[in-house]
Formats: sequence, C-alpha cells, structure tokens
Amino acid sequence: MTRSSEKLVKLVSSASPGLIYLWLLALVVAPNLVLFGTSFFKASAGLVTDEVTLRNYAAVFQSRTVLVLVMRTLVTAFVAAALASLVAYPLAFYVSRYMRGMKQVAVMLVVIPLWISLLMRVFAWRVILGENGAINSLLVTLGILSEPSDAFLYTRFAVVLTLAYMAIPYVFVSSFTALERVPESLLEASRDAGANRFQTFTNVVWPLSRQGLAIGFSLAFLLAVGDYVSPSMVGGLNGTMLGMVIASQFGMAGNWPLGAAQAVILMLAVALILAVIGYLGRSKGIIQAVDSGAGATLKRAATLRGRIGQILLKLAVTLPYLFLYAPLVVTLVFSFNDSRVQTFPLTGFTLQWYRELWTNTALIEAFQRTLFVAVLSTAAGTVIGVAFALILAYRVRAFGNVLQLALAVPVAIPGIVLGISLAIVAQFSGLPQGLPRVIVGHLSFVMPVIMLIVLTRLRALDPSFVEASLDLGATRMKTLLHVLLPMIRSAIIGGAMLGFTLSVDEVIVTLFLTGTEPTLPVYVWNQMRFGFTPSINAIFTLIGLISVAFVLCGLWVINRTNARTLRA
Amino acid sequence: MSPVNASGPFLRLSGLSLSFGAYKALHDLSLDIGEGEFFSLLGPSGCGKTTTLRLIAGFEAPDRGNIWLAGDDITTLPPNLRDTNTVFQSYALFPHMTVWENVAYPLRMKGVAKAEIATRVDDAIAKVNLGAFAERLPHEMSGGQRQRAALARAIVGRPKILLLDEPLGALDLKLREQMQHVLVDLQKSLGITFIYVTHDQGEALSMSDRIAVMSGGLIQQIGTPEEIYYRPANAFVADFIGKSNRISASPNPGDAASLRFGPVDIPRSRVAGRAQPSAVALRFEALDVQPEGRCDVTFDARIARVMFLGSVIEVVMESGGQMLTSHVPSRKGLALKVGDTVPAGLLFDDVVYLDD
Repeated sequence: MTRSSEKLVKLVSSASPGLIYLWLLALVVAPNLVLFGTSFFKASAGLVTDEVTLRNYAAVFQSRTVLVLVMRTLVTAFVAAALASLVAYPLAFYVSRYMRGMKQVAVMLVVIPLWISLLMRVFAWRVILGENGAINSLLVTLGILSEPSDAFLYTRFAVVLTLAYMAIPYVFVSSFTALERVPESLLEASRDAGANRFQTFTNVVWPLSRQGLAIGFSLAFLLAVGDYVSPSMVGGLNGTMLGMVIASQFGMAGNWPLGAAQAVILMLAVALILAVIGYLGRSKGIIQAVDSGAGATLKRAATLRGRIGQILLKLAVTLPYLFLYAPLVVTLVFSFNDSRVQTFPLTGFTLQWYRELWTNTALIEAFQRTLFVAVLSTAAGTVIGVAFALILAYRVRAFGNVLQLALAVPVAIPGIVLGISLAIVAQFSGLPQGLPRVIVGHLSFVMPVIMLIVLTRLRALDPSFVEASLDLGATRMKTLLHVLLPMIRSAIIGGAMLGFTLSVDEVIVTLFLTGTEPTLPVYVWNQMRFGFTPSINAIFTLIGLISVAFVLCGLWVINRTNARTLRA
Repeated sequence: MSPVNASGPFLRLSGLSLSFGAYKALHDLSLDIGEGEFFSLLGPSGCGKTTTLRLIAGFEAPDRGNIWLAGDDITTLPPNLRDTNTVFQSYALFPHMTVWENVAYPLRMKGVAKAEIATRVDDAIAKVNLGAFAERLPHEMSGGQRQRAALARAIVGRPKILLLDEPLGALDLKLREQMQHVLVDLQKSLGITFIYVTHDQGEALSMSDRIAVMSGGLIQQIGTPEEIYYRPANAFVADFIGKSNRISASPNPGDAASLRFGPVDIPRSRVAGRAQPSAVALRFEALDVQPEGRCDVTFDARIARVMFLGSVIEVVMESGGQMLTSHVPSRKGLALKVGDTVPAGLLFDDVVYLDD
C-alpha cells in the first residue's frame, strides 16, 4: 500500500456519504419529483406546456372508465398476489419443515424459472391457454369439451393466472427464508405445551413467519400492479390494466402529464395498500441466535393411514412444480416443432429454428445488446452497491436506515412508474437515447438489490473481525481486501447474479428508455406483436439450459467451498 | 422414594433402541424411575442422554421398545398429549410472546378458563421470582431470567414429569449454583418427578436422588450419587465421575496372597468378589500425603508438581514408575517441595477394582 493510494482511500471514504446523496438525487429524488411535477402541467398537442393545472387529476377522477380501471388493476394485482401466496407459502412450509436431503433442490427448482425470460413464460401461457392450446386440446381429446373454448385466453382469469405464476418464486423465497429462521425447538416447545399441529402453526409458526409472507406478497403485488406486458399479451380487452393505459399516454396518446397523474395515483394507492399489508404482517420480538434453525421433524410411527396421507401430500407438493414448469416445457417443445404457428397438435420434429438463429442478425444483435447492458449495469452496480453497503455499514452513523430505504425506492415502486419517471428525467438531462439510458435505468434497480444483499451480510458479521484486523496492524484498505471481502464474497456473487438476471430479463422499464436499438426482451416483445419466429423459442431454450447449467455450477462451487471451510 | 411403588414403576423405559441412519443413538435401554424422584441422566455429549429425554417427551419415536407412564403405554403418544413438560436447553421461549403469554400458553392450549389461567400464571411466575418481568419479551431479558421463564412455562401445567435438558448449561457459574438450589427447592415443593439431563457431574451429584451414567447409548451405572461416586461400576464411570488415579495391575511379586498395583500391594482377602482385577481406581482425595490417621498401606513417593487449587492442594507424585495424584486439604498446611520424598497412604476400602 503506497502513501498516495492511502490518501485516495481517505479521500473517497470522507466523501463517501456524499456519493450516496448524489446517487439519491439523480436516480431517486429527481425522477419522482419530475414525475410528480409533470402531472401538474397542461398538455397540448403532445407537448408539455408551462401552464400549471389540476386538470390531469380532475380528468382521472371524472372518468368512470379510468376509476374502474384503477380499481380493477388493484384488485387483479391483489388477487394474483393472494393466489401466489396460497401456492407458495404452503409449499415453502412443506419444503422448510418436511424436507431434508432434497431441500436445496426443491428451493432451486422454484427459483430456476426466474432465469427464463418472463416474456417467454407469458407467451408460453398464451400457447397453453389459447383456442388451439394445450388445455383445449386436452379437454377436447378427453371429450370434456366438444369444441375448443375461448374462455381461457384473453380474460381476467388469464391475467390473474399469469401474474400469480410469475410471483410464486418471489413469495416462495421470502416465505421460505422466514420459515427457515423459526427454530425447531419452538415447535417442539409448543407441542410439549400441549398444542396440536394446527395450534402450533397458528400460534407459533404463523406469527413468526407472516412478515416474510407479507414481504413476498408485497413484491408479488408490486410486480403485478406495474406490469403492462403480461396483461396486454394474455388479457385482451377484458384484461386491460392501468399500466397499459399509462404506457399509451407516453406512446401513442402522447399526453405525458395525464400519464404522470395516473402514475402518481397508482403509486399512492399501491403505497397505501403496502402500508396496510406491512402493518398486518408486523412481527413482535426477536428470534434468539442461540436457537438452531429448522431441523429434523418428528419421527412418526408409520401407519397405513399415515402412508396414504404421505403419498397424497407428495402429490400435492409436485403440483406447484408442474405449474411452474409447464410453460418452460411448452417453449422447449415448440423450439423443435416443425411449424411456424404455436398451436397444438404438434406437427413434426425440426432443428430449423436453431439453424435460423445463426442467420437472424437482428436477434443476435439484440442478444448482444442485452449482454452488454447486463454486464455493464451489473459490474457498475456491484462496485457501487458494495461501496454503498460498506459506507452504510461502517461510515454512516445517523439515518442509515433512512438512506437504505431511500436507495431501495426504485425496487419498491411499480415498474411502469419507474420506467416513465426515468424516461422523463433522461429526456430532460440530455442523456443520449438508447443503450446509455437503458444502462442507467437498469443500474437504478440493479444497484440497490446488490447493495441490500451485501449490507444484510455485513450487518450479520461480528464487528470484532474488523477490529481484530485493525488491532493487528492492517490498514483499513487491507482490512477490506483481506478480511471483509473474503467474508462477503458469496453475498457479492449472489447479489451480482441476481442483478444480472434482473437486467437480462427487464422489459417494462427498458421499453421506455430504449430507442431504435432493442434489447432481447424488447425485440421479442416487438416480434410477438408484429409476427413471430419460432427461433425465439430456440434462443430461450438455449438461454434456459445455459442458465440452469450456470446455476448448477454455482451451487457446486458453493458446496465445495463450504465443505472446504468446514474441514478447515 | 423407592423406584418402584406398589402398582409398578411410575415411569418405565423398556428395551428402547433408536438409530439415526447408521448411527445408533440408543441400544436396548431399560430404566425405571419412581414418582417424585429427582433423576439425572449423566454422560458426555453423544452418550444418548438427550435422545432418552426426547423419547420420553415424545419428540422421537423409538425403533424398538416401550415407554410406560403411570401404567399406560405412551410410546406412540404425540408430545402434546403426554403429561410431560420440557425445559429446553435453548429455553425455546416464543420470541413474539411476553413472559406472561409464554407461561399462559400451555394452559390456553388445554382450554383452561381465563380466570384460572390468570391466577395459575401469576403463581408460576412468582414461584420463579419473575414477577417484575411478566410483560417483557424474551429478547429483553438476561439468560438467567429467560431460564426461569422457561421453567415457569414448564411447571404451570403441573405435568407428571418435568424434563430438563441441560437447563443450566448457558448460565455462568454463580447463577448455575444459585439455580441448583432453586431447582431442588422447586422439586420438593411441587413433588413432580424431575428427569434432568446434564454432562456436569457436579450438578448431577448435588441435586439428584439417583443418577444414570450413560455412554455410547448404554447405561453404565444407576445409583445414588454416593454409590456412583464411591462405587463406580466400571472404568468408564470411575473416569467420568470425580478424578481418579487409574493403576494397572503389575506382575505378581511371587506372593500368591496379594495383588500388586504400582506401589500398592493389596491382600487377596481384601479384593472382594473378583479373582483377577486388571486395574484399580483411586480417588485423588483418597490418597493421603504425610498421613496422620490410620492407613492400610503406606509407601514413599517423590513430589513432581504441587498446585494450589483453593480448598485443596493437588500433589502429583511418582512412586515405582507410577504417576499418582493426590488432593490434600489446604488446611493441613503441608509444606511440600518439588523433589522431596514423602510418605503417602490409603485405605483399602477406598480402592475400586476394575475389570477392563
């Protein structure tokens, strides 16, 4: 360590809280203020004038259609989140309490679909639900229906189903994490005190895990409420949601202030609902660290009734997995199907779509752009996220939690609102249209995700590690390099992987920021509206397989590292 | 206090075996415990003592064997229907409930009337001296207070048996000694059978009516603290309880009437019941240095190390190639120097004969 680099570290660390404020100003405060401000100006002929008015809000409240749409959007998102919770929480409970050897696999299987493009999964649902889709084919073949029904696709049911489908992994992970933290000894203590299984659940497990479920539910609700891609693909006219209307104000309708006012109203309604959910999910007390986590469950005598129950239970557990993987299987199958149309029955086997991949330059360019954006925003997000986490953990004394919350705002506002607020600011700031805007836009949510994961790890570390290192003569920089970074490495890698995934798959925010150079999801989105090539099935099958291989390698490395640490 | 009353034993464990995969936690364990007894399961970690407790509580089911409580077979009864309550090693207090709510929990689950719950909870909390902390959440209390809250929760339902799983393990020494008195007093006043799991011989010896010493999933010896301490049944118990010198048998000096163990010759007439013990165990305090009272045998030993331990002085000596340790009361005021040769002596009654 040279003297000049020591000075640099000192300079950076003294300026560091300032960096956080700068970031907040540019990517949190400015977009929301500008969005809020825009909603108070008058629009004229597709342009924002300088006349201040409340007309935009009046227009929302005077229009029955829009009010109905707001209600319908909130109800649809709520029902979808509730449905996802009804599937994910019991599944998380079963995996956490009743699985041992297969536990990690069971968790990974729920998470893996997140690595497969969201658009692709939504599109697959269209194939499943459509008039020539899997469900109709099955029902007609079985003789339950005499002819294919149009009751599945282009309905609110289809929207709810698709949104719930997408939310399940989030609710699962959040609930599972909370359930894993409930020590087995508390369940034993409850049984010991005379409570049966049901009483133990309602009095002990539920109060201690409902906060995790509330967080997962909120995430699911946010994803659903801010999504305008899925509703427009599977919802048809009946499934229209507010996001689609807002998006059109920034597109064809060209009335930014009205769109901004609608976005503000949506955001306030969402904030209110999330506050209520947060209140209902609040928890009391702190689980003591001395308790061990979820462990062995009661060994029970194997009766015949018990065995039948076990088999039924196992069947019930596999159902959510079938649900999660059905769209992925559809994508895989159609990537080999010898037809340009995505309908059943299948016509024949071909590798044509994989061959066409190499000649489709637009698709390959879109893929390259996606990688470029994801790599850059993840790299920058990791560096900044780790730096901010370190600053928040060790430098900021007061208001640390407030700063942390403020930085996380972009993750917690509906995608549609984030997209348009960033688009407006980008327009005002003169940032060039296209990839630079997309990268900055992705950074706004990739960075907080990485920061939060790293910060959680840092907060869990024993502060004496840092003190010991300093005490033993290491400088702060050396302490960071030799002590802190090795201990938070897995959190950084995990955060970066999650950030990368989010970036690669992002479409809602990207649509507002990208110009004539689409990323892969945006390209696919355009394809799906204006003519579809089954090569997209092929590329997503490839991406899916590569991601799964990537994840499995990651798990293998982590397990190996853990084993080595244990031996040492 | 007899282990078996007129209508059979109060708690009978018979032929219990339990394996976890390839690991055998218990082998064919049988044990009778009497009503109102303070019974300890004592042994090193992994000896099966906690598994035995969990079988009695109903958290595990045995692969083989049965458990009878007051004449009923409770082997497959789920824990919530058993008349036993447990004080967990980690206390397992519900973190989202106050002390009062924690203690009220078992009564609520039984459907006891509200008014009765109130008086019984207050009573239980008063018994453990936590009145001032009733409205605290577990994380707002110290380890000792949490421990007492867990105790109150376990006794409020007046179980037939109270199971305690190393309940004092996490407390500091002073508090541990204090709690030993609290537990003994509580047991006498409630008249409930206590089954107490510990690896701490001091706790087991000072509180128990009887002790089962366990190792490797087997019971090594059952007896009163005095029996366990003074008449260990085998080498394991002799090593595990107290501190002993182990002296292997030496080749016989040609005198068929006596056996030789290091520097000590013992007449065959004093070796009760055993033809050829392979070793003897001798408690540190049974070996006297510069004996003043009666001794059956004395020999000279050279002092190798002297250590002051407070109430006793630990003297390590060498005699005839055998290292021996003695605990001499400090009050004897011996002036011992390393290198000195001093007389040492013992009584044959203090010698324990070992077969292995």
